[in-house]
Amino acid sequence: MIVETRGLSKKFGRFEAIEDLNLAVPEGSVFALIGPNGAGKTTTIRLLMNILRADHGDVTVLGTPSRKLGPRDFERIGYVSESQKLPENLSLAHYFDYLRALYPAWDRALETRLCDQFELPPSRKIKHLSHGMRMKALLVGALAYRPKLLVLDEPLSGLDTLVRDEVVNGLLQQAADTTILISSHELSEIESFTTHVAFMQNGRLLLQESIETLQARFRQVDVTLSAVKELPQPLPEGWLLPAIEGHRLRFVTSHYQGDPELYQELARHFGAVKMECEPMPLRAIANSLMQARRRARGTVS
Amino acid sequence: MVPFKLKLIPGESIFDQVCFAAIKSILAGELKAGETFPSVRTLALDLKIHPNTAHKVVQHLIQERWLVAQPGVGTVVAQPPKARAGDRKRLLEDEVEKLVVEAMRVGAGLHEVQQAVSDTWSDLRGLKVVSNDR
Repeated sequence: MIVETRGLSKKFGRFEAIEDLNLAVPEGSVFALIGPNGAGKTTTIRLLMNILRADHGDVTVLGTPSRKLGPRDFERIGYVSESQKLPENLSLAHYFDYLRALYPAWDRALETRLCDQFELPPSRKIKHLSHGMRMKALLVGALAYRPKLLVLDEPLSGLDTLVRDEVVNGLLQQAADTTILISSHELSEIESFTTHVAFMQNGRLLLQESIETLQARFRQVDVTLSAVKELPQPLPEGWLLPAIEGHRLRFVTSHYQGDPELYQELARHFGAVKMECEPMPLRAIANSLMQARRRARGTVS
Repeated sequence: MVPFKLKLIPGESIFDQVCFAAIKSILAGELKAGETFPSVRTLALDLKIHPNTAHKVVQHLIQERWLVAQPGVGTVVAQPPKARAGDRKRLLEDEVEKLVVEAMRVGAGLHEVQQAVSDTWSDLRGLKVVSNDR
């Protein structure tokens, strides 16, 4: 594993930001850390990058405990976050001069190519860059030494669609040789090249698996019932957001195994039915998980 | 640019979708034997897919003899490969059975299905099918 956490916990005052987090990022993956605002994604990333100290638990990054990460390790890690501090008075060219000295593996040709591709103005001072240009500059600063691990905290938020495409292209050019851990809300943007997904909510990990297994087990199901019936109680395992109205039943299953199995399950509860089920984009899966959580909380409180 | 049309449907296997799109455009004659097939890098960047997936697609198509790797040139489109023994039977019996069952389920009539098959057939034919499945 390139990144691994065991029993990771972090409190801010009495607020439990992260609780018992066990994350495992395999080598070569594009690992998407997703979840609603306030789920603990940024805190997790800061714990990994040794910016925050955990209350409990272990973190290893590239085989080194995160508290022991030093300059040698950071030469192999690229980290980009929205809230990163930059030397505002430097021009971009000077900023890259400064970075170049820090990374022995810095590839000047790659730097130039990325700057051209991103249309970055070398003589402009950092404080005069737009948000999109800043993010692109940060990305050049993280890609130019071909790190083994790229950690990106919300690299796409606040960028226009064209810039998002450029950033994604920049990432894809290195994805073959790099492990990428990316937190993002732009799920439709990252879905096509993501290999693994971890979903966080309220400081906890709800799931982590490969995107194939995730998408194989989630289906949006639409059923036409032969008679008006109530929802089965308790709900069958894995059913999310069930809604029944007249002869129509709609829900999301997180335990899909195949049409015949689903027919059987529906027949057990409802007798003869007509059913249609569709695979779901990552965005829809994430939405249904978030909504299901919200609904469950609503009934408890 | 990738020389075949593909709009990825989210939620379905990207690998399957790209392979299918490539094979379809070879059979429809959009991609002709001897033409170069896009590199892994081009596929990944244009379709916004992981380079490893793109690599898998190209390897799979080479293994299935839709493409040939030519040292120094890259990957080129091959003559459409001969169908394997059993492929034909699988299509005409199993796949057709699935289609018919599905048609009955959604309430499409025999004529409707026949029409749809022949429309799709001539759509591809319109682009000159080069299949040599006999």
